[in-house]
Amino acid sequence: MFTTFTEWARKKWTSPAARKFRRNKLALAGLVIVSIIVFCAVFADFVAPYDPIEKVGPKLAPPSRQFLLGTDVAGRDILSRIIYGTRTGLMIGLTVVGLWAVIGVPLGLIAGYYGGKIDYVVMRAADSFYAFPQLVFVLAISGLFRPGLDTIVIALGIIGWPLYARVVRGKVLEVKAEEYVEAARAFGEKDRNIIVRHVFPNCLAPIIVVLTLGLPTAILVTSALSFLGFGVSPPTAEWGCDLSSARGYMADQWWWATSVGLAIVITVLGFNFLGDGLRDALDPRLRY
Amino acid sequence: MGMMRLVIRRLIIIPLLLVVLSFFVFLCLHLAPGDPARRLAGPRATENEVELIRIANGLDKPVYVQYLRWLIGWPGPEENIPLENVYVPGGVLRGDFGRSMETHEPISKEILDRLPVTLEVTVLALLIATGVGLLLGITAALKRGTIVDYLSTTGSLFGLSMPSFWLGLMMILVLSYKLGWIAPAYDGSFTYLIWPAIALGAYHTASVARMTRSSMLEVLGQDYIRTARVKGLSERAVIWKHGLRNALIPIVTILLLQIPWLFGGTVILEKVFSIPGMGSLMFERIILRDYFVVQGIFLVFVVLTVFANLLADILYAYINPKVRYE
Repeated sequence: MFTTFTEWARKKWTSPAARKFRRNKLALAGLVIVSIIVFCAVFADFVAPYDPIEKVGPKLAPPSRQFLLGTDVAGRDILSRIIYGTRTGLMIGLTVVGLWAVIGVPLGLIAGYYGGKIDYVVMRAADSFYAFPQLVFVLAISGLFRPGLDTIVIALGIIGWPLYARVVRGKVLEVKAEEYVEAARAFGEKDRNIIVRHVFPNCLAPIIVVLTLGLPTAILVTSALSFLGFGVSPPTAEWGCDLSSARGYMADQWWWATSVGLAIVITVLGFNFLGDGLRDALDPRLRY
Repeated sequence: MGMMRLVIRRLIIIPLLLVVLSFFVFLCLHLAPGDPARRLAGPRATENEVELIRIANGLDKPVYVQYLRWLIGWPGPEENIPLENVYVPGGVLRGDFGRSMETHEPISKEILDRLPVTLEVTVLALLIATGVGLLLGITAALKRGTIVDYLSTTGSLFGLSMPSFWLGLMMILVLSYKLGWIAPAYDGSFTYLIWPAIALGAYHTASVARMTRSSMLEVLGQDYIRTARVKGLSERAVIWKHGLRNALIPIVTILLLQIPWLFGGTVILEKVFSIPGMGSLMFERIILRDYFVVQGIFLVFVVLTVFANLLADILYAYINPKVRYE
């Protein structure tokens, strides 16, 4: 089993798409950044010098040997909170993107494969969601229902799927015309099997690309909502939340807001580089 | 001719779309947990008083009756009900958004007071995004492979990765706290709004620049551009008349998709720059659970988005003659 995996990995690594990816410097930079961030998120307990929630020093201390990025208003180490923040950010982002995929991908597959009325209904629904102020919707829902992280994640999930449905549908239309799909149909395979075995695997490339590029969007939006006080609540280490506390101390403790924000920028930039590289390698014609 | 047909077709669809979307907005409130009648009557009200408020606002009626009253104000409250107990919107189509549970003022007035500044920021941001984005994208495409292209392309990726609220915070930090050029909060002047508009438009500027670059490069490689050059048209005419016009199609698509996000972003930047717009009103009232105000603002944003999309659609048809005859 191990040999088959190494063989598979070698084959993937030497494929034309992989070669194209490896030659793309920005994409590699993205891969490095994303790896570091995922590492920080998984091993935050070992990477972070202090506990993110405990008071470990004086209030609002400037950066020093002991506290590399200083301490916040509650005497917590800012660097440790940023490191633990990668965990929070990635977890929320992945949940939101997961919801988009779970709703959008099947709808796109069905709309593209069956066409006709189903396609019409799904795509019109997608259109009307596009023409909807997403962020305002999420705010209104969290205001009218129960403010909190789960409400926001679910509301974002409901509002964000059309893009994924549309991309998948476009690819399905392409794949549907291929000979192997026609052959499978000629052999009398069931529609469901054709979608699962033949159509879906061939749509994976654009799905991977849009999901990679969707993650930074999800992180930006959820951190914005936490900044506004609608997502994660303190004392959880979350970037948007910390930025909103840092806001009041910008005049004197400028490094606090600056460093927390840079953490978001670097994370999002890493995923954007990676996603762009994946697109150029896997599906250059994809417009996103 | 085709243009007129498109506009007319859109104008027929829009009322329908608005009815569907308004029902959705109404439903969001209706499904929300909590009892508006109890919220209105106050925590110390007796069961009897709550019931009186419920009847006065028609909250005891079936959903579709409530929706009709909410939308067109019919059937209105019964004759003998004291008006000071009526808070529910008496027909949003007639401009009656109801009264605030908090200030007891008409909501339409509260929203209208806050609307202009929100619109100013949004429109400014859209103008900046379109103008600067196009300029950057075209320059990058024409100077492909040079340092200018490299800077503009990398800059765009940064723009796409920057949270607008952080960009706003950094502007306040540098321009206000460090340099002292501007006030740390909105001072009521129009020129101040340029800053939140830049922060809001940064993401969109970047995405327009990216789209313009790739779409210009694609168009400039086409046969008809070569033909135009061979015909002896000046380089400027080739780029502006033939190149840009065709490259604009995907660019307008991108802008169209981003208008809804722009409205959402305004809400955030109003908080960052302490601008008393519709967004900040929405926050204040979400916290106070002032249902009808939140709902009214939600509706106004939806209507604004629908009309912004209509404008973009018409612009799209104007640029792309193919759409007109679809």
